[in-house]
Amino acid sequence: MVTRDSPDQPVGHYPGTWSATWPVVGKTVLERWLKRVHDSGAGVVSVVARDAQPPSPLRTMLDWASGGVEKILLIILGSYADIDLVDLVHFHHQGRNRVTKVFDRQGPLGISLHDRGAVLKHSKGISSQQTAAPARYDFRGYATRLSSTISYRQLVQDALEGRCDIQPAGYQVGENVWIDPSAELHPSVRIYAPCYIGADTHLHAGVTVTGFSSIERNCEIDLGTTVDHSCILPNTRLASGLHVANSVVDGRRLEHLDRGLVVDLGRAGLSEVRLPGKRVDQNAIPKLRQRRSCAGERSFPCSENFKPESSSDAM
Amino acid sequence: MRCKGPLFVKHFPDHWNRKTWRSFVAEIERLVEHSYQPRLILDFTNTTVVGQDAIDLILRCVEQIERADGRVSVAGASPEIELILELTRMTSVIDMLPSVPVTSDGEFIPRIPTQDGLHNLAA
Repeated sequence: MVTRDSPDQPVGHYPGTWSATWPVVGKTVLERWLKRVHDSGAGVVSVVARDAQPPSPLRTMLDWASGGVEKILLIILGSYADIDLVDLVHFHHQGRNRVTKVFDRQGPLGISLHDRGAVLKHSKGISSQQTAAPARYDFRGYATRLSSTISYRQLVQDALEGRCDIQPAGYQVGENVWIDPSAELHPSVRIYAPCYIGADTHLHAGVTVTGFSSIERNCEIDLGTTVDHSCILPNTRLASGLHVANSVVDGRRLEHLDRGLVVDLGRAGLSEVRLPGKRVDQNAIPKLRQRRSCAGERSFPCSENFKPESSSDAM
Repeated sequence: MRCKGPLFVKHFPDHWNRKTWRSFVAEIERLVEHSYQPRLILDFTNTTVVGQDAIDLILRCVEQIERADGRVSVAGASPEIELILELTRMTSVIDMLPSVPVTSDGEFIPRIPTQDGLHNLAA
């Protein structure tokens, strides 16, 4: 698999672009592809950053082909598809194809299956014109290209609505509501399905989560803030009393999807990066904007006491 | 709420220190003392950043002006600043104007003098 970003560490990204390190309701697209590939029975899986030197993606493929690997599945990580990889292999085998490329209605999905011979021929400098044209595998299931923040947000929404095979992590505590057991929600938190609350996330009193929103792992949402049609990426801490709508928030950075605007919330004291593994520190709350008292607040494991409000209640 | 009182325009500085903050608040307090249903327009035309201090100051202005049954507006804010004001729900207590309004003659409404006290500039 080839990623744009390094699989090990997150990188800064340009406004409007998606990052492979962003989780989709609990797991990154890379992790979901890895599971799909493992489940298909693939023997060896390698993740290579597109610009990595060494090994480049091509070098890795050549090494494997030289080492005797018969079929190489190449996934360039810029899309997500509910593709049945076993069916792809059968199609490739039945057609005796040397190379099979996967297409959907919009074009290639960046997924291809290569025979060992085709890879070795490429290494000897035989151009693609001299070899047989790649076969085309038409995929008609769910597929999306993760080219932008908007498409990322759409994928989250589709996952929460059950339009694709992505299963949110954590427990399903209500219809289309998933909450990780390690999340802590104040009793006054209002949740409108569908939504997702990730691991080690803390929602303070009066928080409202609505509109197909996802709050990923290790986030903290302060008193009375509303998260509406938005994705809060891991390790983000939001101040109190905010109304975050149609946005993707990553630490200090908020991108508004409708307006294509990016603002630094940290500068205004409205958000900050929450260190991974850090538990809720009530003494630290005044550092962010806090307009209400947190007296009387207590936390509890969501799986025991929390009951989400139904969608009809939200109307 | 429609305000029938005087209209004031106040330039909103880009950078703050404790002295300018107090001076700004003092001017608003004097404005409230001398007028009824004032309409205060904060001119954000040259403001590039909104920090926590600025948000607190706008809230303070709203508090003060509402004592005189007045209304606060923000004019000429950049899209980024407008987004932050929406995010903090400030837009529920202030009006947003695309630019500083002009009089029927096409003239800009004069600003509040910073040192010379307050004047009713456009009743």
